[in-house]
Formats: sequence, C-alpha cells, structure tokens
Amino acid sequence: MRVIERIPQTNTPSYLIARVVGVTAGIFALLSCVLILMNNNMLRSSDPMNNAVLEEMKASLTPSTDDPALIEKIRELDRLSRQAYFEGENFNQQGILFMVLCLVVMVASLKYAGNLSKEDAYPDPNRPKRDLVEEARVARNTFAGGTLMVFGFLLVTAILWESPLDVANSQDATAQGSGTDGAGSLAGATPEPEPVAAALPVLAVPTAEQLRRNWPSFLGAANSVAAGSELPHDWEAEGAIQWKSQIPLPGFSSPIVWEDKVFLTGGSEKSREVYCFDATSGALLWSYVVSDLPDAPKTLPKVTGDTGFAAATMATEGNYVFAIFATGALVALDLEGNLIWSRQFGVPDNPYGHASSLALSGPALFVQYDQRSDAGFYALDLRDGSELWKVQREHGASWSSPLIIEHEGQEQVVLAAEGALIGYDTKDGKELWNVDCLHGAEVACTPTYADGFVYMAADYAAVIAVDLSTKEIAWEYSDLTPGVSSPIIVSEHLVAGLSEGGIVCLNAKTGEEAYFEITDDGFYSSPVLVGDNLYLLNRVGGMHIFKPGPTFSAVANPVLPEEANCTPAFVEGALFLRGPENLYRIGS
Amino acid sequence: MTDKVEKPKLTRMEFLSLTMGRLAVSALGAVGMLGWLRRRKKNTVWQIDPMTCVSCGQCATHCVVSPSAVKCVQSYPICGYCRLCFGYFTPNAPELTSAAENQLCPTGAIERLFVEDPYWEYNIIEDACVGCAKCVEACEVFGNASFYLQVRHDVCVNCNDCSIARHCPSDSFSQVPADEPYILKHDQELLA
Repeated sequence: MRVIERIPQTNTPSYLIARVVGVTAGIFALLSCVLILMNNNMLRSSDPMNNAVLEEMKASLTPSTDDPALIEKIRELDRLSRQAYFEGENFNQQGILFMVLCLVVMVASLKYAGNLSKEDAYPDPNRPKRDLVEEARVARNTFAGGTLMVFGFLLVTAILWESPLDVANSQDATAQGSGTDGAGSLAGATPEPEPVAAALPVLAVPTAEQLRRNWPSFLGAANSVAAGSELPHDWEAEGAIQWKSQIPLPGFSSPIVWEDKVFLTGGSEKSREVYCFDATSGALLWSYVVSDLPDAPKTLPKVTGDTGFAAATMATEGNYVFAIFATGALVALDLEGNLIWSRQFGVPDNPYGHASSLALSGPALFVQYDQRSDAGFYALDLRDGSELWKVQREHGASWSSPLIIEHEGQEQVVLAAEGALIGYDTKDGKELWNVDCLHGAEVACTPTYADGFVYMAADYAAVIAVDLSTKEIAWEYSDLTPGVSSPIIVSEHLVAGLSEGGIVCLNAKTGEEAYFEITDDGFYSSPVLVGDNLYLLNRVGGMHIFKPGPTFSAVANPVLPEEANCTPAFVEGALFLRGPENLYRIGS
Repeated sequence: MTDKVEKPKLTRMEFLSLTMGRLAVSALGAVGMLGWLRRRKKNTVWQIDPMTCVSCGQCATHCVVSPSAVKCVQSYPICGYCRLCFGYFTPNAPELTSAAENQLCPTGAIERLFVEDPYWEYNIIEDACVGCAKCVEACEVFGNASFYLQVRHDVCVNCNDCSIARHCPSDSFSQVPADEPYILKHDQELLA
C-alpha cells in the first residue's frame, strides 16, 4: 500500500507570491475601507443641498445687484461644491468595488497559500515532532486577538460614524414627539425635556403689586379686571394712539406686559417667533426665532386661517417669558430674549391648531394640551421645564385656557373641554371635581370664577354656572352662546360677546337674560373691566366701551385703524392692542 | 500485484470543515430560495404617489442608496414650458440664464433648452438629481406642478423595506405591482 504524501511547499515561489498578494490585497481592502469612511465624512460637509455659505451669497443677490465679483464667487463655489459632492459619490462607488475585489483576491490568495502549506496527514517520523500544544496556544491567541481587533474596529466605527438615517430618526423622534411618520401611531408622544446643565436658579416671586400693575398672561392676573382707571374714549384724537409698531409675523396671541416690555408671538409656515417691544417707545427690542431650534418639527400642523401658528398667549412671572406655538414648541426665555429652556410636545392632533394659552401659578407653568389623542395637562417647573406633574386627558381637542382660582383656601386650576369642566389641585394635579357638561361643543372660551361659582360657555352648547359647594350645574342658558370670547362676571352679571355679533348679559345667580345688545360685528376678543367700564373689542377693530349692569349703556365706541381679534393688555393709563400687522399703544 | 491507491482517511478537522462548508452552502441555498419565493409571491415595488407627496425633501436624505434612488421626473403633458420656471430659477433670480446664481437646483440637475419664443423645455438629468424636491415644491406652488418625484427602479435596490417609506410624512409611499412600477402624474390627473 502506498500513501499519497503531501509535501508542504512553503519555500516555493508560488507560495511566497500567493502569500504576498493575499496580505497586500488585505491591506488595500483595509485602506479602502478607511478612505471610504473618511470620504463619507467629507461628503457630509460638502453636501450641495445644505451649503449655507452659498445660500447666503445667493440670497444677497437681487435683480438689481450688480456685483460681478460676487456672481463669479457664487459660480466658482457652486462648481466646487457640486464637483466635490459628485466626485465623493463616485469615489465611494469605485472604492466599494475595489474593496470587494481586494477581499476576493485576499481570500483566494491566502486560501491557495494555505493549501500549499498544508502538511501531510501522516507526518514523516523522521521530521522533528510538532509542538501541538504550542501551536494550539498560538492559534487561540491569534484568533482571540484578531476577533478583538475586528470588534474594536467595528465598535469605534459604530461610535464615530453617524449614519444619516440615525440623525434623521433622532430628529424625528425629538422634534415630533414621534408624530411625523404620518401613521399617527406615536402622534403627540412627549419627549423628555432637555437636560439641565447647571444648578437651577432661585427665581424671584412676583409680588401682588407687580401682578396687579402688569398684564402677565391671557386676561391678566385678576380674572379680566385691569388695574387702570380711565382710558381715552376717542382714539382719533391727537396723541391717543401713542405709538404703532409693525409686528413681523401675524398671530392671534394677545400681548402681555411686564414693566416696560410688551411681549407677543407671531408665526407662519416659515417661522415662529417671540417679540419684545419697548412699552414706552414701541421699538422692537428683540425677537427670538423658535423655529430655528434644533428639535423643531419638520412637519407643520394643519392650522386654519383664524387660528394660525401663534394663537396662544404668552405668560410671564417677571423672570422668564413663556410661549407656545401651534407646532407644539414651548420656549422659556429671559426678559432679554435668551433661551432658558425649550420643550417639544409633538405636533398636536388638533383640527384648527393649538390655541390654549399658558397659565402660571407659584413654581408651575400650566399647559393645557388637549388634542384628539394623547392629550395631557402639564405642570412644568418654571426653571427648567421638567414635569412637576401631568394629567392624562381624554376630551379631544379644545382651545380653552387654564383658569387659576382660589376656592375655600385651596388653589385650583380649572380646565374646560368638550364634555367636561374639571378642577385640579395645582399642587399635584389631583382631580377635585368634574362636571359633565358642554357636550358636542367646540370649546374655545376660557372659564371664569366669582363667589364660589365657575362660569363657562361654549358655542352651540350653553353658558353654565357650576356651584363649587355642590359641584353641580346651578343654571344653564343656551339661547345665545359665545364661541371664542370668554365671559366676565361683574358684580351680579355675566357679560359675553358672541362670535356672530351681539353682547349678552345674564344674571350670574340665576342665568336669566338681562339684555341682549345687537351689534354689527362679532367678537373673538374677551371683555375686560377697566375702572367703571367694560371694554370689548369687536372683530373689525371697534372697541365697545359700556357700563356693566342690568341694562346696556354705551359709553363710547372708538375704532382702531385696522381689524383686531385679540384681547388687549391693559396697564395703568394705557392699553396695548394687536392688529393683524401692528401693535398699538393707546393711552392718555 | 499492483499497488492499490487508497484514499487517505479524513482527519477530524477535515471532516468538520467539509461538513460545515456543506451546511453553510445548503443554508445559503435555502435562504436564497426562500427569498426568491417570497419575492416571486409578492412581486411589488415601492413607489411615491405624486398626488399626495408634500416635497418635504426627506427622499434625498433617507434613502439607503446615495445619491437617493428617488429622482425628479418631468411630466411633459403638464409642463407649461414657461420662460420663467420657478422649479428652475431661484426666487428673485438676477437673470433668466442657466448661471449658477440663478438656478434653484443645488446639483444643477435640470437642463433648460430653448424651444421657440417664449417656450423653454426642462429636462431632468437623473445622474445629477438627488431627489431633494426643491424644484418639485416650487413648481407645485407657482407652476403647473409638472415636476414630481418617483423611485427609479434602475437605481433602487428593491430591498422591500424602504427606509424613505418609514419616514414619509404624508404616507405617499406604497407598494405597487412590479410590472407597473411607476405612478405617472398625468395619468393620475386624467383619472381625476
């Protein structure tokens, strides 16, 4: 019997060539991989779609610009940008092909070399004995070392290399509250607030006097009662309109006032902004572009023309100002316009657009975020936006704003929505009472409170009074109901402006109609008591000044030069009124 | 007596190596067969519905292929052959020429050819198009909306797990029969 012997051919030129070729191909494959990764990084920086410098230069060009140097520069940069991008893409494609080819050559060559170096299965007894234990140890170490290197390389690559998909995913998740995928599966989910970088500041608590003389939130700090006394009744008189300033972007949010500053918001599809005007001169002191925040949603909500992107009124406690927009973006800025914190609630599932204004009490900022799914009522820490508590709500979309009241020594926040009027404890969000009402209504008015009764109204539903001692509806009136304008209680009467026109006055104790004054134009603005007179602005800019009481008694009816829908902000001796394009200060 | 050549016996390592190799080949074959069967069964590809696309630009950034397999296409029956094409020129373009400062397309992927006064033809250079939809959006807002996006199946890897579809904000991606892989806009408009 003859045994076929395989003689190792490790000294032959074939073996040496195969081995050198294999190792060289491996090195080339590794180099290609590294170069491709580096090229990917370069590609991101030379993306012609997001070349900020080029965009800026192009934006500065107008048909009247005659700057050949600039034009030449744009052309050169455009050419270089596109050239770098496409050459990079080409390099990637060629590089991947080359790398695959190198890997194939490496595997084939090393396999061939391995075959040549194979020893006979039946070794020659005369040959020196192999140290199998040592060989096994070397093999184990080589395998372990190689595996570690590969995993290390993969780990480093995974950490350093940021896939565009990952970036997009994380942006989607943060910006939208996971609402951009269109499927609605995660619509309205709430991402975590941004982390706090430093120790939280101690904020000054506003005094009662400060709250009285300013107008810190929607309807002021005193439930639609202004601190001032008399205001001019003739707006056409010289000096009555003390200044008028253009507002860069439109919005239905009402102005708020703190000391010498007036704040309001504006928004469009392109941008959402917070503005600060000088209360004395009307100069625009600063503006903050909220839509530039990195977590701003890429997909905008659908809003209607009479809600827009900036319908919610801001709030302030003298340290920070807070603003929320229809995109679900909430920002806290200091009075100089510096961002303190921001938060995204996710694009709301709201048929008209988010309009609930912000409310403040003690350490909490209250956000009523009613929407069709995943609605919530949030109490946020003023200092960093972290959640103090949150209540899940299931009443669909509403456009009403929170009302802070104190009843029998307990501070409550009252929320209205379709089918329910609910009082929560401001400390922990515990539900204190819940009245079944306002079914089938689109709830946009804000509730009001007086003498143990909470009053609420909704169009096509009713005006109701809830007795908090019994937690039941005391009376209900459904003949003439306001849709947007919030009612006010003055002594024994409830007064409200109707969207389609007319002022209705009811007895606050019985719900009986005291009078109905027909007006030509409707009301979105809410009535405010200033001194002895009620001020109610109609939708075309006409201010109805009338006496409260059981009969309608007109005092004056000055008219603004443009239409207006927002409730004015009243301070001592002046009111700030927002029109579609301008902010007015009217005073004596 | 002749020498009888015997096959060498397999060592344990050789036997294991051989067995594992055959198993691996069999597994690969099985996976391939399953994939083929599944593909054959479904026989669909992803496509964009131009009537619901909102030109958000995510097709350019979310495709696994780079540049994106989504390209702009021109519907010639819909195009107005305008001299001032808003899909081609930037707003406030200093001149109506093909100079870089006037073009909206960041990659210069639209060709502008003179037809007869005052008509101009606009063609998409697909190799240069990255699917950013800037031209689509502008043409939709100010023009006849003849530019629209389609997944080009000569570029698409047809992985059947479309990354863009997962991110499309308007749910415009759907699976269409592979033998009718494009949703042509003028057909849709005729149907409407």
